[in-house]
Amino acid sequence: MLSLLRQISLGQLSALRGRALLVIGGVAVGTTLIVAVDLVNRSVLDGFETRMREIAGPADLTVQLGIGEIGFPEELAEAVTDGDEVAAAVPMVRGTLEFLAAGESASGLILHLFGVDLVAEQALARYGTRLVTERREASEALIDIRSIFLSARVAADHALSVGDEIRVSSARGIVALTVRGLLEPQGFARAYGGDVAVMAIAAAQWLLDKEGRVDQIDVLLADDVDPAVAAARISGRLPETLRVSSPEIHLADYASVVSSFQAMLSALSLLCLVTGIYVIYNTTTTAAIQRTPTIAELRLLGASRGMLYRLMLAESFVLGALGSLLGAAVGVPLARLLAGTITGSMGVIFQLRFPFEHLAVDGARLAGLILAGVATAVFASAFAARRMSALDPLAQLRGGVDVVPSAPSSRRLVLWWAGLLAVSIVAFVLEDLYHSIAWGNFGSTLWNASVIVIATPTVAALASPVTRALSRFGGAAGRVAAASVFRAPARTGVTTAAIALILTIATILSSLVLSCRESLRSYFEGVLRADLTVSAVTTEGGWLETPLSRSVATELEAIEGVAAVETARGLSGQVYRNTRIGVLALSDGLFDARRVPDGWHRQGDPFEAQDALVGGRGTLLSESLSDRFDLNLGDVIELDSPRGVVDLDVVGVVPDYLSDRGSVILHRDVLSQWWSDESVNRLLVSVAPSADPAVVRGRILRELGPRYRLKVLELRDLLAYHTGLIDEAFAVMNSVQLLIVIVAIAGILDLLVSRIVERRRELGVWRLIGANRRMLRSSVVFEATTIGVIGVVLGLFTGLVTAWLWVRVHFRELLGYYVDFHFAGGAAAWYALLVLVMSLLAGHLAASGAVRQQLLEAIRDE
Amino acid sequence: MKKKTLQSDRLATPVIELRDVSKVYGAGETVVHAVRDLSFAVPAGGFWALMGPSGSGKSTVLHLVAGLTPPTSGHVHVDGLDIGEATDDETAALRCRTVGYVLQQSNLLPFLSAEANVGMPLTLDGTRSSVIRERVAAALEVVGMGHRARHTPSQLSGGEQQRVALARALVIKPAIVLADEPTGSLDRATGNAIMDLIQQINEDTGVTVLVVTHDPLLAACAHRVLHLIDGRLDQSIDIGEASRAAVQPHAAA
Repeated sequence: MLSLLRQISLGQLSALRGRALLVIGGVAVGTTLIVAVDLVNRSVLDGFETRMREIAGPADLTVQLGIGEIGFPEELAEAVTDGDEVAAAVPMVRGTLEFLAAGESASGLILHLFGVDLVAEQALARYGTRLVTERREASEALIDIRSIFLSARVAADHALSVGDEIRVSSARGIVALTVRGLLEPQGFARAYGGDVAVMAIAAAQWLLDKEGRVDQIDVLLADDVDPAVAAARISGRLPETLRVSSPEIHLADYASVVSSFQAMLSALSLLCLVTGIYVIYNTTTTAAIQRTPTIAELRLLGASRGMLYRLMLAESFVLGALGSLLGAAVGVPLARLLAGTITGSMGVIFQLRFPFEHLAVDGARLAGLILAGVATAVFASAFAARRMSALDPLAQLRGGVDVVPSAPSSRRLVLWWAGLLAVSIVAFVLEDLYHSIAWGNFGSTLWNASVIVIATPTVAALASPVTRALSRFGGAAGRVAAASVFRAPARTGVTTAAIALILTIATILSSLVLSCRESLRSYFEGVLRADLTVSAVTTEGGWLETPLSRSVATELEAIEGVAAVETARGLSGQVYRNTRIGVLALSDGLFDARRVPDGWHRQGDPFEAQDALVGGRGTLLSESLSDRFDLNLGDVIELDSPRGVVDLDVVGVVPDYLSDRGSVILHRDVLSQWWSDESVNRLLVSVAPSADPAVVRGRILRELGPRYRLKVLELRDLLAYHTGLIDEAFAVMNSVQLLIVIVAIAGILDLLVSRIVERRRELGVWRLIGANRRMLRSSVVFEATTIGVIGVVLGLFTGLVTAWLWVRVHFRELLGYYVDFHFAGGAAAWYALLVLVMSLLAGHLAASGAVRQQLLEAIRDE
Repeated sequence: MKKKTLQSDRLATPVIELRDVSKVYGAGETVVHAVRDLSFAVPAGGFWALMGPSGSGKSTVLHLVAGLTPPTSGHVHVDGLDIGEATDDETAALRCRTVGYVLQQSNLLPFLSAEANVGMPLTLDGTRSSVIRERVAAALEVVGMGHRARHTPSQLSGGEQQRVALARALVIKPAIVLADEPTGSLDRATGNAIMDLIQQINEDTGVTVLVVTHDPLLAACAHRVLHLIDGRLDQSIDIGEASRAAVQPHAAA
């Protein structure tokens, strides 16, 4: 087999170098993306794990609400320690501060602040770090509330030493702090890449506007105590809404949060692999046509079918291995490049700051992915190999064979198509009923397969009208083109299906982005509209800005030109029935029924809901939450809060995009009362009718700017901010889409060109009987363009339907957001144009080759 | 052209045997009866020619003997193998080890050198490369192409290509050589040289030759000529009779 591989395959593949490269490229692109996405996925989780271990230190258990996003009353710490099983309980407050450079300009550095009990001698040691500076200076921190400890790395980067003053932006505004000590880069001082600061717990509570609350209590258990038993005992002494769990459980929580996004990325990279399979299938089939004489000759010389089949699979194995190795080699650096984009996307979607500190390369897993790439190449080429090995050498001796499969009858294909369609619709229904991504992926795959199946009957059905049209507009050249296009509907169907698939994929992703953009636009132009939106400059990782003290609202109201200030506070890490949901707390004015656009309430009436909402008795649910948990108007929802379970009447169901798994919208007094939270993320300013928003904006920045790092956006800027974030969230998918399109277009180009190459002899005969070069060129261009147009029409139709299914059904389960469907007609038209240009280009390329060839050579060919 | 040697009477054991063989292609209105109730037996070492007009089934007979297609009815036995019952692997092995096939066009693999082309059947059969080298060199010498071993087909003339194709048929030391109009695409002189070579090999090695030709002059090299019309055996002519009947006048012409 090796000598056959060397003599036959090497010789043939050298002659068909372009196609061999296309196969390698197809495998390489698929493998590259799978490797890159897998590495980033694993690295993010690895980063989480490392960070959690660094932060958790030796803690056996942690007490927190939900995923620890918001705190609970600090007095509960006593209840935690009040048991023999607990050796020590360490309350902690967490948050972020923006480090300000000289002149109070942004430095780009976000400090992760930990507030711990510095009085306890071992507070730092418990977390695996210690001071590298003098203890005497550090003790000042116990007296001066404006004291901070920085990691030695941050201090070195900014040339800071003990005693220096730094300025930070916090919920309390811009505050000056004194560096009282430096932390050695160990334990939790290494978390977040070392961008860590520590303060006394009371100081941190004040600075983060969390007075009287702690975010978590780390528990060290006494010797020989079973953590599970201890967790149960501690839980018994706390409100039922607080969770007592191990760091492993927290990691699992994060893993489950990001799993849907990672599943989507994996699905996209698989889509790319599927496209790769399709390209390899097409390429090997096309190459097979050119290799027919060789295969027939080998059969004559005594090669058995099995031997040829194995030979061709061995070729695919070699090409697949080359492609996969290349893919892995590119995938690793690509993962490094994409890491920022992917974690950025995840941050926007999940409102979390995702860690990425190093690439978690696992050799065995990488080898597995390379093998998967090889297997894909072998699988994709097995179809052509099977047909080639079954080739009848006599047919070749008699003057050529058609290795392209003859299509089953149109009627049979339509029945197949209907069957696939029916099953995929059932799968989508099951996805919707059971909220199962697996059913959705299954349905989506079948749906795409149905596009391939229906292509051939569509081509056959179009034969008559298109032939008439081509004959009318293209004369003899048109007739020749039509005859060529329609004499083998299966062949044309394969090409049009490829075009249709590209357009479908492009339309799905473009429509997803557009639907998200338009839904957010109506959200911010509707219920959350304001002349000016004021918030902190920094975010906690996603799109929602770092909380500010509510007192900023009072200060804003005092500024000339400001008519009213409403506030919005979003918590995106609350937990409802083991699912991470969002809580959006709004002030009175934002529940004013008059500002609610018509049709906004999917259930309930805004005027009837208003009183219950303002009175703190009712809540609105996002469509996604209502659907996911089957909660509807008139039901009661029980929410976990630090002070226990809150019962609220569901008074309406509305669109909301705070959290991917759904959100509840309630009055801010409810948040104050049950969550003890007084912060705000956004202040929505209505400008007095006589005032100019731009002027008021200037005033706000002038008057509050020296004390707070604020962002003041007019409506159009706010929309631009969110549009930018959506683009960021979908940046990876756009890259994937682009790669898919490039690879697939190369495949289509190859298919179209090879169709003409195969007809060299026929074109020679046309010239023999009097056709001139111009007519031949026109005919070839007509042919390629006709195939392009049929593919585009099919692709636009299937793209429209598939995009609707994705946005309205599949995306809801994949990422969780329920957005309205908007068809990306512009993007689809752009891709359609691209395909048509490619078809024309392929036509011209092939036509040039066809008219250049010598007449005698052409008719002697074969 | 060398003088023919009549050996058929001496060589009685048939290496190719067709009994009541019919071959039908297609179905319904497009059915083609390529061969009808054909029976003959070629003895080992025989040199037989198949003649007849286009569509008379000559090439189909070669295809049947090479195991490229099974008979629709009847029996084809080649070197003891029943083609109708044989598996694909068995017929492939037959072509690898027993039957050398030469076509009108040389059908060499264009990307391989002459020696690689000649060695291909042995490579397919899994022969060791040292043996392949040895036998390829010998086969090329037999056809007088040893000096062109490293040339690719495009660097060879039509006659040279056909010699290489013949060497490829001989390299397996076949029991049977099938030749389908081996001189059809060559000029007269080159064609004669190729037929001389085939005849010489038949005499020297005792290989059985079954050749399809339209050319009576070439058929005159054979021991026996089978004349087919519409897939049926019209005449089986011992070459002595042939020389008295049709061949000599055509040859003279």
